[in-house]
Amino acid sequence: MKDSQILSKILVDNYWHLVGHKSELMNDKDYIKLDLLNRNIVVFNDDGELLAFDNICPHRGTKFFSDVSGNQNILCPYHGWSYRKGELKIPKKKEFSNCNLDEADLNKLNLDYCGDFIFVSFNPKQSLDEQLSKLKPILEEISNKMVSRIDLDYYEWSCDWPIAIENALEPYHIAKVHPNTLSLLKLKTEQDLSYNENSIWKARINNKRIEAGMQKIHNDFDVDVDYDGYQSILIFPFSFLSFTYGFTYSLQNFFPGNSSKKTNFHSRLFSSKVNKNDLTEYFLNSTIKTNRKIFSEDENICSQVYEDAWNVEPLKFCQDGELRINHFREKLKYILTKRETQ
Amino acid sequence: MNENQILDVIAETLEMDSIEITMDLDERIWDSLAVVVFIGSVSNAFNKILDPSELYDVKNVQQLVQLVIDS
Repeated sequence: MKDSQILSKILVDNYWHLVGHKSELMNDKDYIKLDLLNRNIVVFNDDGELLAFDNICPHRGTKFFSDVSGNQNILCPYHGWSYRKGELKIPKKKEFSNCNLDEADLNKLNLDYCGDFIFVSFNPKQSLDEQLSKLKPILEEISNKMVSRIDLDYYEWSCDWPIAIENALEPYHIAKVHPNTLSLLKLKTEQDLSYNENSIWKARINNKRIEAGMQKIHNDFDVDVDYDGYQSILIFPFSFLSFTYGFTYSLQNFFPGNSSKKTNFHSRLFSSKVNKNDLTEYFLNSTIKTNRKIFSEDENICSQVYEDAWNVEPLKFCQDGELRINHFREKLKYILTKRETQ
Repeated sequence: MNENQILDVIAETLEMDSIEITMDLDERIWDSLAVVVFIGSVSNAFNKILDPSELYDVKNVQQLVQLVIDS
């Protein structure tokens, strides 16, 4: 088995995963669905209580939900098993005479929060606080600035998950892969920070027009900005938050797919607290389009990386902007080595 | 409001010292951010409200000036 496949099982099973923001699940019966390795998981608002579970009916294994997001009851389309207010409801319950229905339940996952961010885990080896380390207060603060989801996108990338993540970790590719989008910002590294396995990249905008424009609409939109530049945060192992100034926040999950040639890419864009008018609506809509274009360009280049080119060793030819990749690989190598010695 | 005043606002939006009426606007300089900033500047300078969807499709400075005059 390849290293990336061994790692994906360990990481999926033992780590906490950022799966969403509370603003996505404000109403009773709101749900989001995510694909993670061979698991299909749902986070659901059950009469005000959030719960996470495998999207599988405990009766015969039918999927409860088909869409990636929506508002509907937990109701199996096959025989009508349902779940409401913490209780599994089974049609014709008295006719199950040869089994113990007390054992029937949703396959629930561990759920925890960092501010308004929602994390799930299958079999965590540490608490969420321990995993996030000093990133926790930073994420809490960001989560409080995110007000509503304005875009949701999901598709499979044709590459192994570490290739997708490492692409998001380095800015070296931006000029070549995103010539008419991200490259226009002319980002210049200001800080590379590590918090255990997590990391943050902060960059200044060196395009005078864009920087001046961002400053101007910052005042017009009345947005609370704490860093006037671009930030990309790796929330180890599979998630990223990226944002410019703080008008919008992009949350990306690069979850392992069900083969080493697939990555389950979930992308969401959240707006911060802005004065809503035609102009802000226009700006937010254009940000959605730009974001989607950037990720499409990323997917295209990642699909061209030879899958066997990836391993946990440091890059042999490492540009300065790619140092976060070596940090990431170092952590993966440690996890892999630890498993082999156990 | 005359053409030169509009050109000044466009130049300010694009962070340029001056601008020619014959200049083309491609997506590398005329993006949604430029549109939003320009609308705010026109509103302040001439008390006119422009429609962002019309502005985004302009291809050159001449069209942009005409759009402001006609609004």
